[in-house]
Amino acid sequence: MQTELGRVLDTLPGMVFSALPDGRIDFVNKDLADFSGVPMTETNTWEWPVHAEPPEESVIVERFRSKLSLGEPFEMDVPTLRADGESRLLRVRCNPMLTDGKVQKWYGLATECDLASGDSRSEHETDFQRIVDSIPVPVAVTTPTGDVEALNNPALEYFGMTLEELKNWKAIEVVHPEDLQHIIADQLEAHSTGTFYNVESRHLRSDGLYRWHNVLGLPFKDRDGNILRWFHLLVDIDDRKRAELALAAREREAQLVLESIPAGIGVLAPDGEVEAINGPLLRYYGRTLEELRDWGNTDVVHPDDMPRMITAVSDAITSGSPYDTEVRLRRADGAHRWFQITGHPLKSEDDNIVRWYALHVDINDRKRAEEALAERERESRFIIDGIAGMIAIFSPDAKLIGGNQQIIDYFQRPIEELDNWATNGITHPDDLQICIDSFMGAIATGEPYDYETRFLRHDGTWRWFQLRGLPLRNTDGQIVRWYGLLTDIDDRKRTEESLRRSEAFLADAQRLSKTGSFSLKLGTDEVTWSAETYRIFDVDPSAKVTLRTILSRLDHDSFGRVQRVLQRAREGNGDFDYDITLVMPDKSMKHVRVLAHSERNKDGEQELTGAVQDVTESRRAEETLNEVRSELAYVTRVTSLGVLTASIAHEVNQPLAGIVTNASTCLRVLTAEPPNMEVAKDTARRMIRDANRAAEVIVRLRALFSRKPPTIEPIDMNEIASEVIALALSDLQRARVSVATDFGHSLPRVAGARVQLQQVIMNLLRNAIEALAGINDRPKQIVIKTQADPTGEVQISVSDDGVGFGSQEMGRIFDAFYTTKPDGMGIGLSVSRSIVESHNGRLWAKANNNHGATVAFAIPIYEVARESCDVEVRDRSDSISGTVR
Amino acid sequence: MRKRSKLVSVIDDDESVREALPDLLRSFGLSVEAFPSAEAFLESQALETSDGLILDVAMPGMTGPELQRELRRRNLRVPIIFVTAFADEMVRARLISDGAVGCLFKPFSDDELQNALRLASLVT
Repeated sequence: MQTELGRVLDTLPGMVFSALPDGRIDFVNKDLADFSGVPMTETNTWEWPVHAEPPEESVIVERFRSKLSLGEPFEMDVPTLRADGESRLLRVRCNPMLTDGKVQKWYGLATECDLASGDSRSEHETDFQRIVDSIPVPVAVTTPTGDVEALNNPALEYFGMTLEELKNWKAIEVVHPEDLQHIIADQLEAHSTGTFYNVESRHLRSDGLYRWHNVLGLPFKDRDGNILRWFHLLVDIDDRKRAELALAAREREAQLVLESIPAGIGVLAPDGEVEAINGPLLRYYGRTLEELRDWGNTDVVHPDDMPRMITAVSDAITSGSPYDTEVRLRRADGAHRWFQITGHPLKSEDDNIVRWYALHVDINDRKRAEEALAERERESRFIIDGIAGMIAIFSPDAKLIGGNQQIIDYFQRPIEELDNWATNGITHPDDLQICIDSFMGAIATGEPYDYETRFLRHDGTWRWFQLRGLPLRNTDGQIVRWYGLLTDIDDRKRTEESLRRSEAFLADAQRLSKTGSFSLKLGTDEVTWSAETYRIFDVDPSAKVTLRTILSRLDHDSFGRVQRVLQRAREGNGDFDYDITLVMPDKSMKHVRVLAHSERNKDGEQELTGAVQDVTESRRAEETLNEVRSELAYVTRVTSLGVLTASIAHEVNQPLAGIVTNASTCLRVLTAEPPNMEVAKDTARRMIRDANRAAEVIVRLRALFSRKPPTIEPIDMNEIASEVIALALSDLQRARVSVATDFGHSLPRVAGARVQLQQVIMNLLRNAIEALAGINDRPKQIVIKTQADPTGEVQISVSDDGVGFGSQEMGRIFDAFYTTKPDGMGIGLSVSRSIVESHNGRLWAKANNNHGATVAFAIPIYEVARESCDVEVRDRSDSISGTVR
Repeated sequence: MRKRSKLVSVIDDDESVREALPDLLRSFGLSVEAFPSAEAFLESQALETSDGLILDVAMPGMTGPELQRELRRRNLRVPIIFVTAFADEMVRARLISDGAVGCLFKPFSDDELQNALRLASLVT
């Protein structure tokens, strides 16, 4: 535009210049440059060659500037140095170009005051036409009164009209109706003052479009200063104007936006000076922009927040980086509300800060909500810290993000560490899998979890916890948190455990002992059975048991017996001990012993409780055992008989040999001549003695074959041991074994059947003798020792240093038919043990340090044993019915 | 010249045998000395002078068969008639195979004894 206008102005027959509002001349046309001999420089500033002494020159420059500052058209004379060095007085006339009342630019026209004005008019006129036509922009030439006189070709082409048509321009809208009055007024003004005018207006182009032009009206004067013609130059500024208008529109829009957005906007200069504040913010404060320029000294910012605010702004101004702060601002009504103030610098292309925009957003509600939330969280924290359990808070992806004081106290580790519960050893290894499965399963499905595990307390002890977790969902149903409650159930768990164990023990005991328990409420006939009772009665454990169920299993005798028991139990408290026979569905029989007790239970109901024991097998086993025992005893006797017979033979044959020999001698001496009566008498006496001796042997042996039932009596262990040794003397002699005794003094008497205990001792002694049979390298000796045990028993042991038995055999030596002897039957020790056990005694064996073995048994002393000794076969026939004790 | 009667030593721990048997043996015309144990016999004059032994099998201390072995060891060859209260043919067979003249089971008759004495050439 400038170039275009410059080109036009250069062609004008007159000296033209333009100046900026501050007086700097930014353009001179060719005429003025030629006249002065001062060319336009590249920097677009042109120094007027004022021709005056320096004081005078500055006065002139000062006057020019002061006239410019008035913003009104003016005229002044300036002594100017012409190119040829001559001084000329130039009359300078200046008009301001206004936009929105502000001077954008000055346009000046300089004429020589002393120019002669004698040029012929026609000469000028010819020039006019020539000049006008050579100007490349539309130019109109009017009379001093404004009538269109001529148009150059560009003008005719632009308007697409004839000169005649355009003479009537005011009527035919070649000037935009909105601009018409304005342009006419300016022209009239220019006409009256004789200065030029400069106006921007729209003109209709031949294609029907209005385009913006800068219309520069210049008067052409004669030498006397009379206006001869007006030149009107139309410089097309449409593009610039449209850009300006668009910019203005945008600015208006921006302004509108600033005013209409419901946030406060403050505009600050790069130095922080408040330049503008939008309407909403002004209305909020209820103050004017002037009042707010000095905001730092007002109460618009809450006193507590003011230092922060000032710091934020000044730091931002200094550093050039955005600021963001939250402060309370005072509303017009005096109330304070929270605002978030964010300041951003607007930067020019060369990165200089042009201004700051500060956005004020009311966050009061948010702030209040935050405070309320914080308060709620404080309350929640207070609550969860007050819960007598551990609370764990998890994110939806199972990360531990919080916990109460209790959980931290328990583990004494920070929450971040507790998050690694699966790997850091705080979860019991045996529970880890169920923890992972249960917890991760819940996380995956969103279902609540509930499981139990052991956690390591800080002191190194494991405690059981019940873990229950619930997801917290937002309004969309999405899980935002998991809350887990960890309840210490260790004590309960241990109780459960021991209860379960004792129940298991009880069940095991019942199963193993084939003993079931039952209760029967006699008022309602309500029956409760243990599992074993179900098994004994062969009833499906899921079935409901009634008294009828029980009675239906009983044989005839038992039915009557049970009815009598029930009758007595209903009548009062009592203990019952009776046997019943069950007839099972497969017609097999079961012998059951019942021990029961009737009394009023804690609910005041009469109840019969007790135990039932399936004794079928033990009864059968007892019978079988008795049979085996008799058989064994028989075999023992038979085998013993061989040995015994030899013993008897030896014992009896000795006196018999004496008798026979004496008898033979007697006969021989009586038949001799003469008969030797003295020797005969001696032999007869010896025969009597030997016969008595034989009879004694028989008496002594007789006990072993006695069929009398054994009787329990107080027995002196030393005495019976001595008798056995005496009885075994012949054996001992034959085997060349010596016996040493080590008898305890003043032993209490034991409770026993004399002959049975002697049998045991004899058995042990015989075993010892046999164990020594193959020994030739050392004396064969047996030590029999008795002593009182502090446990209320008397012990007798038989030690030999014979072959002994291997350690692996130790556990088997009491088994029937186990023997280390090639020709033994292996029943001696087994029978011995059954005898000792029937005396409530103990029989054991151990290997000696060097050679052989020691076999010993102990029998309770008579005083202790009297009550519990059951050597007498308990006579418990089925005919015994329930009796009230 | 009257032939000296033969000396038989009775060795038995049983007193009734020691009392009864010498009288019977004397009725056969034999001289008799009785000893309650093998050890007593070994320490006596009879060890050298006995023409035969009547020896109990089972005795405390040295047994009859042990004495039999001891005499053989000393090269004292004297006929031995064992007597025992344990009637065991196996024992008798072993004793006889070991050089005993006889083995009598108590009680034994005077005929059995006389037969055994004849085998031992102690009586005719």
